[in-house]
Amino acid sequence: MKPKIAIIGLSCCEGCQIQFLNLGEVLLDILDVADIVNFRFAKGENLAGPFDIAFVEGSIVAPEEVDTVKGVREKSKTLVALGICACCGGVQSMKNFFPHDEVRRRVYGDVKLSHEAAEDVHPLDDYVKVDHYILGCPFDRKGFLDTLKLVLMDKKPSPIDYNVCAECKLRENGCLLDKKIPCMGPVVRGGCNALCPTRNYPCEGCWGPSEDAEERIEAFLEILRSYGILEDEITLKFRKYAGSTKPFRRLAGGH
Amino acid sequence: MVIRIEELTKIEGHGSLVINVKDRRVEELRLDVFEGSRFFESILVGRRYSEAAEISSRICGICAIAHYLTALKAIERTLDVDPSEQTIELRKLLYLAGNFQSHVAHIYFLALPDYLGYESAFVMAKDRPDDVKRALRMRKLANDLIEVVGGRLIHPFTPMVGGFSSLPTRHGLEGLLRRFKDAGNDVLATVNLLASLKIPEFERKTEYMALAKTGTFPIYDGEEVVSTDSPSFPVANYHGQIKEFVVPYSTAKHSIHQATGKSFSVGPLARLNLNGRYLSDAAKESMGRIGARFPSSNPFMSNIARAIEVVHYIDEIVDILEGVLGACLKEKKPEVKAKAGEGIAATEAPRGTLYYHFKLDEGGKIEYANIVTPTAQNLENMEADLRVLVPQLLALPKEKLILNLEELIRAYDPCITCSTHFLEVKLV
Repeated sequence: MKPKIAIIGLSCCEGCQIQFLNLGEVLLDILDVADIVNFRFAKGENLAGPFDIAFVEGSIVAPEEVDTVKGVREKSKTLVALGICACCGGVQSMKNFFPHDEVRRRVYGDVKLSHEAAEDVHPLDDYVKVDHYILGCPFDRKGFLDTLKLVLMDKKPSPIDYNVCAECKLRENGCLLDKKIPCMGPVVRGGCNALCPTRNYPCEGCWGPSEDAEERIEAFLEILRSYGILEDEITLKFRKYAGSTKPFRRLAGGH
Repeated sequence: MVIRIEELTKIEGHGSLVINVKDRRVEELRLDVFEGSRFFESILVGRRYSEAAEISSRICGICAIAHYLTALKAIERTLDVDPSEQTIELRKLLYLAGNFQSHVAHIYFLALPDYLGYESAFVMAKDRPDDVKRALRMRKLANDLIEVVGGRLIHPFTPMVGGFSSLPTRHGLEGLLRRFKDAGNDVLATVNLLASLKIPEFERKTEYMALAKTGTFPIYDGEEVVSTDSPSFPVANYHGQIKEFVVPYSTAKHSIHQATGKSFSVGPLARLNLNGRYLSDAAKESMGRIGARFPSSNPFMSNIARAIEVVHYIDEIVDILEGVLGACLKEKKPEVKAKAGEGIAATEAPRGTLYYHFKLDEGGKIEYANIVTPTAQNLENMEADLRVLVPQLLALPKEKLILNLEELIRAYDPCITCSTHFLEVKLV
């Protein structure tokens, strides 16, 4: 029997689900070796489980999503967090640094909704055990295929243990941070092949903190401060994609 | 009778449809939207002007480019920045490719399986591999343009306030031009495929609105909003024209047109109804060949409208590529100064007119953000269509009835992630 794959979306932009359609004809190869049994965005018939591999995108925003992700965990042999929102909270987690009432009032006024958002936005592993993480905004297609192949072969993918700077050096890019451009490369996980810095755009951190981010943060902060970058600017930088993760939380203005 | 579609599938985002029918009359009908609210208009506050596009792009993974570039346009208005013609042409390329990939995804993966009797394109791929491969090929073509010009699939990053962080290579653009010129057969096959489907006969008098710009079929530009029923208005007056309101069962907002006090519709059908005479010759020819007539007030015709637009997009992309390649690409670092101000911009996203409105403080930080998405404008009209359609379908077996309702909803290609940020169908 072919392994059963589920592609589940929680609250997010759904870009990681759309990225599946961007896999091109490899998508048809995947269908040869596995059955996609749940993918609400592209399928009318969706099985409730069990799943061999569940890819879950998005972060936990609505209280109901806690039950959804726990249910998926129970029904899945392997659960893979797909994209920065599932792995680290994503841009919507910026909300965690605002008073909840103020934020909701600005959008919905005084109307009480049937589906109110929870106070805070959470990545999946705040609630369930995650077996593997595929990062990026959106996820990187090659990284996804590598992980999928390993999981299908019952092997364990190893996490990317280098930062964006390592990839920038391999590509022989000039250093943006040296040019006093506040690039997050030193504290952000690699895997994107230094996509943005290669095209002259500083890393904004959409792959979340690197494995060794906590060891590097102080030196990185010193550089930023020596360039006269203000503390509140630094706070905003750490808060953008992964402000609720352990390595970034304190600098993002959280506790 | 209660009709309940618990989870609408093959749409972007999470919603359901609940309909309560008594004595053949619709007593209650609502599109429940329970997509988690992500509060973009709030989280943008306090951010620097230079981050507005990057963060706004994350509202939607399928029309990210529309959000990104409309945010950029509104910020440039706020700061009185006039991008160069080259910048505007490159942004148009990116925008057209974004609409193109969205339409192809909708036609082949979300709409077509319904009409051909498959639950999904994945199952359809076994019987009709050529159709699915064509879809993947067309998406790849648009995606390659997006990577070359925008830097990355889904969420671009090279366009910045006043210009680009890095320009596409000449070599990259030349390759794209060749491939877009060769894309004619795939596009024609798409139009023919849609023309072969039986489009439900259903009409409801509707007000349509779209951007207008003299003599053109505007997508990235246009400062005037035209309507089939009301006087036109400048984009900057959107606030007095489009009244957004919150309904308790939906985390996505609804809208009415102030001028009429009624719902209205935006999107590909609205664009063809209002601007169809400005389509490319090949698009008009396709329209004639398949006998598609616009204006139309049949919402199911949106699928045909999308295919016709795809023909137009290809022609416009080829034109722009030829123009851009006819000159030298100039690197010019934009000069931007932060200052206080207010700016409003609109574009034609895949699903219709998208409005962005920012206010900045003197340091260039966002003080106020308002985003009016096409789906938030269409939701009220979708409910109005469904209220008329349901009584016409009551003789059908329930399964067929539900399929018809889903087809109508999908014809709008609602994007709930955008509008909340919205859809399941509950027939109660």
